[in-house]
Amino acid sequence: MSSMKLQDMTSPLECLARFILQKKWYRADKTIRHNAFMPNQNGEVSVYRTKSLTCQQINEIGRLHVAEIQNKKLLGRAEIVVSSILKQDLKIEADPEPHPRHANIIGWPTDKSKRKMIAIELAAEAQLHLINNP
Amino acid sequence: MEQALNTGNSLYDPDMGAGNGNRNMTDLAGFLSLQTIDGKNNTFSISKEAYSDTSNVVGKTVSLDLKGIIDWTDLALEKLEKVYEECLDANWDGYGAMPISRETYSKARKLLRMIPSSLPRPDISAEPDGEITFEWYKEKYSVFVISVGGNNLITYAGMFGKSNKIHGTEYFANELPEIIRHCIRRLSH
Repeated sequence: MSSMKLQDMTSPLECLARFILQKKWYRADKTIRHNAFMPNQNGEVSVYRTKSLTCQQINEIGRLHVAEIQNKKLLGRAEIVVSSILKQDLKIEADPEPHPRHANIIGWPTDKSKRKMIAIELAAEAQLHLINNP
Repeated sequence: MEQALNTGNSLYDPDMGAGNGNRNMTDLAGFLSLQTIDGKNNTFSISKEAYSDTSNVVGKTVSLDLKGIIDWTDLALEKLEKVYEECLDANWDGYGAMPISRETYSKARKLLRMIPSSLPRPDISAEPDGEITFEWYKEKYSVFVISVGGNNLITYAGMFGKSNKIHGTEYFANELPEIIRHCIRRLSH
């Protein structure tokens, strides 16, 4: 599935989930830090499309396809609307491994300070949903 | 009290002791004052953020003078060490992050010591490329972030309201670049 196809399929108001595996990604006041949205060495931020899924189903994807693979506990997710990403001139590219709903945010600038700036803005617009782990 | 004197340096590293020389003087002053707390001198600077307005020293409760600036450096250095230890291995974030190198840790210590304690204490974290991040946060759209790697470069970005943004890169040697100082101050006003 190409990035164009995915964008055609998504509404600008559709939500994407960035699964959170560590506390460094959010603050005590339940806001999200920019490092949750900093791209990895491949210039990608891994996200999942959540359209038509319940919270439970979304978390199940995170648990099975993100956290458990890494031997980590799923702490929650940062949800961000597609329009916030497109507004930054970034793209969303489908990457159906390890899950059909998986995608990457790509198209990041090469200048790190610009990437940081964008990540700050994305984090400010994202909503944190924590899981009540026992 | 012991912590004020413990720099936590197990290995010699020239960058570890660099930075604001006043810090060492502050620690020393605190230590010396603590040594004389049972005598006449009961006014001294406190080098820890965690404190109370009374202190039980050798069985006596004395009042401390809490006026002035609280030096948060030791607390921040402890947090920095914790972040370093948590991110020593690759993939510490579960998304393929690079480990924090000893050199990056060393530069971050140096940079942290350059931040005047009159400025707010940063939150310390890490980024996927193995750089260490200092963050000053006021609210969602008022945040300033700097990061440092194994070189003497600071990458910074900040928002001061939705429409005021700044980002760039600065070289640092022996003092905090003015632009960084300015942005931290701007956020704290």
